[in-house]
Amino acid sequence: MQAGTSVNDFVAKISRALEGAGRKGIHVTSGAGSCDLEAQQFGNHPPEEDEPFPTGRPHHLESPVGSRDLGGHDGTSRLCYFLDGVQSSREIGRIGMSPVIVSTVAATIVNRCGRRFSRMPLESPPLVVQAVILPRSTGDASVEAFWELLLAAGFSELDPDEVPYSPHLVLDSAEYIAEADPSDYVGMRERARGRVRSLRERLEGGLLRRWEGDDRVLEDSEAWIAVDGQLKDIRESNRRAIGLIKSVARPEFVGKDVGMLLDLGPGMRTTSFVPDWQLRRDQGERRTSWYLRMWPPQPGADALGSLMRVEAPRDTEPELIDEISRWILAERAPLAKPDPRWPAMIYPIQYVEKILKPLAQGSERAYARLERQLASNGRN
Amino acid sequence: MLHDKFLDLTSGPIGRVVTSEESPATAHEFFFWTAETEAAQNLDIGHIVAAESEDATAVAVLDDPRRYSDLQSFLDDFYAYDGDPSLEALSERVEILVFRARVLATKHRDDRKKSKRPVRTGPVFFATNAAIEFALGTDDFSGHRIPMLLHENGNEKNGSPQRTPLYVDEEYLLGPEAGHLNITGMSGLSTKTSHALFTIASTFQTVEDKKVAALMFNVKGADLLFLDKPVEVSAEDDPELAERYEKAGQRGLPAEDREMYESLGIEVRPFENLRVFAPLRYGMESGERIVHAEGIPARKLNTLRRARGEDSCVYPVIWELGDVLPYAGYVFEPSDMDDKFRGFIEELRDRGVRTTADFYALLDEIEDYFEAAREAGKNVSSWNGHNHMTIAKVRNRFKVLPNKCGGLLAHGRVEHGDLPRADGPFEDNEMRVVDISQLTGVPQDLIVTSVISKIWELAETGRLGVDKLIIFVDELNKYAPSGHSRTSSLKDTLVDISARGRHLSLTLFGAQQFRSKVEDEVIGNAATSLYGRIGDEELTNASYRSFSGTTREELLQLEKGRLLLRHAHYAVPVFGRFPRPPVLMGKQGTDIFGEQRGDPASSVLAVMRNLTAKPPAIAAIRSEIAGVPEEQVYEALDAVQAAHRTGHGAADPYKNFRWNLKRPARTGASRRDASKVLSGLDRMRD
Repeated sequence: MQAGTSVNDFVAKISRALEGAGRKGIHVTSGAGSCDLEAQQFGNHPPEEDEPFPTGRPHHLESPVGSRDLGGHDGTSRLCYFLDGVQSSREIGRIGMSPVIVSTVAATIVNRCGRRFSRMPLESPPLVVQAVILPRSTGDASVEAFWELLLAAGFSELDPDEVPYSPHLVLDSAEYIAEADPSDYVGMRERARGRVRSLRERLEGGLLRRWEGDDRVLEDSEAWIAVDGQLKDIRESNRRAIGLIKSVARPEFVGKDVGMLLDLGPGMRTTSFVPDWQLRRDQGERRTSWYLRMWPPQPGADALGSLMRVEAPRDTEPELIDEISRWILAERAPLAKPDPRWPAMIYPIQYVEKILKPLAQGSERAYARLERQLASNGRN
Repeated sequence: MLHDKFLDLTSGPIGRVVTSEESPATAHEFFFWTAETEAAQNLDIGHIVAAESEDATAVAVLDDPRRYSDLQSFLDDFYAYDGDPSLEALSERVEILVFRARVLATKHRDDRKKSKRPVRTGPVFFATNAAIEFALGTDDFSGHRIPMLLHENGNEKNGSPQRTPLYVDEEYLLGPEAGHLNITGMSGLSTKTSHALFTIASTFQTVEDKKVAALMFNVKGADLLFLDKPVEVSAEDDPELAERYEKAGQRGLPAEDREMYESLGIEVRPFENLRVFAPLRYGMESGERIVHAEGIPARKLNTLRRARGEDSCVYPVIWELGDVLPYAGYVFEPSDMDDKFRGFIEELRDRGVRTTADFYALLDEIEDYFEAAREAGKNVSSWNGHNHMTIAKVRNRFKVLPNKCGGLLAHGRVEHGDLPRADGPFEDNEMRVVDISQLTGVPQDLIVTSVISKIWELAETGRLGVDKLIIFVDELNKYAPSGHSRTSSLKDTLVDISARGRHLSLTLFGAQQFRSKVEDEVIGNAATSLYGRIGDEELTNASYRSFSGTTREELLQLEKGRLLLRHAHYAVPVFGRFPRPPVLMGKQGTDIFGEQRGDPASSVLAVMRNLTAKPPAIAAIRSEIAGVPEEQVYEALDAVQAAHRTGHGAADPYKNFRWNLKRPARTGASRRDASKVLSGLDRMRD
């Protein structure tokens, strides 16, 4: 799918819905200009790295708890596939107090062969999904009417837990909120952003499922996949996937284990564990985690700098954890610069982000047309 | 696609146009990153590509390749590899190769319209032959298309690079629209003379509807003395000659050069109408009152082309005193050339003193005058206004004239008869070479100045004999140096030729090592310029300011046979190659065709081979000259050759030779006259 064409289609559909809204007397107010939600800080950490706030001691899988010296690496790795996604969203206007958010998420898997990357073409889900996000469940009639107009213009709804199948969706940001307050403008924006994140995660999850069932992957039993972020939505049978969480906001450890973590040297890992918050979920959602220090301390970074949390399937053995850690250390060259998160990032993941970002950023021209249409409604 | 025929669709897209805030696409250049296809991996400086704007296709030359990554510091890479260059990372950091493409021409979809719009982002393709020819402006040529270089593009056809001749417009090379060619390059590395020869051959073969000739000066060894000899000889046609070629190491043109000739549409053949002119060797002047130039054999000339049988195209350059006097400023020391000295020289010219003999006769006359005055008791100190001291000084300085002129100067009158002259009219496709390689200093400069000046006069009076004449002058920084203080009549003539020559059918092919040290007018009037390898001190000069940094770097290390061509029709200079000239050059000429230590019979055979299609058998010749003194044999042979050189050769030169041989010893003149008579009789009979 050509990104430019897709954005133009997306905007054209919204434009048709807006025309319909105008005829029905639904006023969509133009903002002062597109407002990029990703650029705004709603929390203390980047949105794609949101983790539930740890509350208790993790379940340690190895003893004694401490650091493990990996003894260097031999420069080899079985990581052949890399999955990542990106998102962008912006507020284009309001219906009353309800923000109208448009978003783009994109995700893909690249395959590394002979040191070079190529995108792994998969029939579904789509590479890029664009959505209009409205707080439908707040009960605002105008919002509901606009929702219908969007459906009539060609947008699709998404069922709970459904993997996105259509490139143009309309999503309800208040769907899972009991008694959402329709006047909570800031809260609705925050929830919209969360909806975008979950859309991305579903897209990534759908991709991962596809990967698991792909003939090329099934034929090559040595090929592993590294996913940027938590390892969600994997089949129990999938023992060849790891998740790389590059931003450690708060450690999963408590007590003196935190000291052990802060003192972890470069090229060393902690013993493995299951985070406390995963213990309260189904077994199927539990993962084996450990921390890995990629680099010595970097100028300007704190003691959590260069730390990466790795997730592997449940019950991954310590020997395999060591091996996986060595693969990750072997990925230190080339550096993932100029990304500021490079100390805890591997180059292939940075590559995937780079090729996706232009798709997610969308066409400024197309959005500018939309803004002009809204402005010409005269209710600015 | 707007112009399918301009894009090499077989190789497919080789990159994509990219623009940025810092580097937008403009009317004259654009940037593109290269694909990773096999075809794109051939991309290099000088290749020609095509890309589109909304309504037009731009054809552009590649320059300035740069490979980018997103690293901000070299140190990052060093740290990533832990300082170990042998470490092989699991992933290859993404790098892109970006070329700058300088637009040669743009073709609008509507032939009636012109476009200068920059290209837009989109695929880039190799340009086809049709695109390159369009971009070089061949559609707008008003004259013949003269191939000057061969462009080899990065795309391949049938396993070889796509080749396109780089043509120049005849009317912009030879006039009248524009004219002249200038070649710059380091000595020994840039093949200036080789390319000049190739271009002249190309011109002769291309411009067939006009009479074209060329004049060159041989300044080194035998470089230009055997231009009528082929680069190779078939053993089937002439086994003995083929063996001599083999011994001399002359193996002919490599296959690649032959392919280039074929691509250029030029035949591999030498100059059929070669004439070599050389002065007498010092001491060979006979002192006769009348010197018959046609009787001077090549053996007496100061040239390396004097072997019997190979000298039929060699003619003398010999002057009377009257030919030297206008160039007194070249010959005598500047300190001698005061007004009184000059005044006496003007007196000599006004009195029509043409020969050295005349000069000394006049001095005797003057001496008699003073003697008579002394005897009459008169105190006479001047003759005709010239002080006797001045006259004595002139006598003294003229004594060394023969030495200074190095064989150019005859004592008596020179009768050229019908012999071709170095400064005379030309024939169609004549390659005239004046051999000054054995001269240095004064005589060398004298010949060059005199020949060029006289030819300029012929051009001004419409007596060149051809429609176009090309004059090749090497070492232009010596003959036409820059700076107003350094002037000479030759420099003035060369400036004149540069400025007005194209209207008078004269074209200057000039060459030099240092373009910056040549007179601006000469350089500036050349509508076509070629650049070979250039030294770094020269490249820093403002003359090369218009070249990109990459082009200047290329010129510093350009290989032999590759040149940068700038022409009036080209928006941007283009690199190209040329094959070796289709002639024998250098030492191989003398090795193969130099003087052989053979018996007189071999010499007779060699001469007859040049004069007739049916030379006699060597056995017959031996039998004919058995018992005849060697000197007599050679005299008879010289007479036959002399007659042929003036166009009065017998129809049957061997018969003529046998007739000369049987007659008692005669003077050279009577032998010549006899040959003429015999040739006349032959013609009447035939």
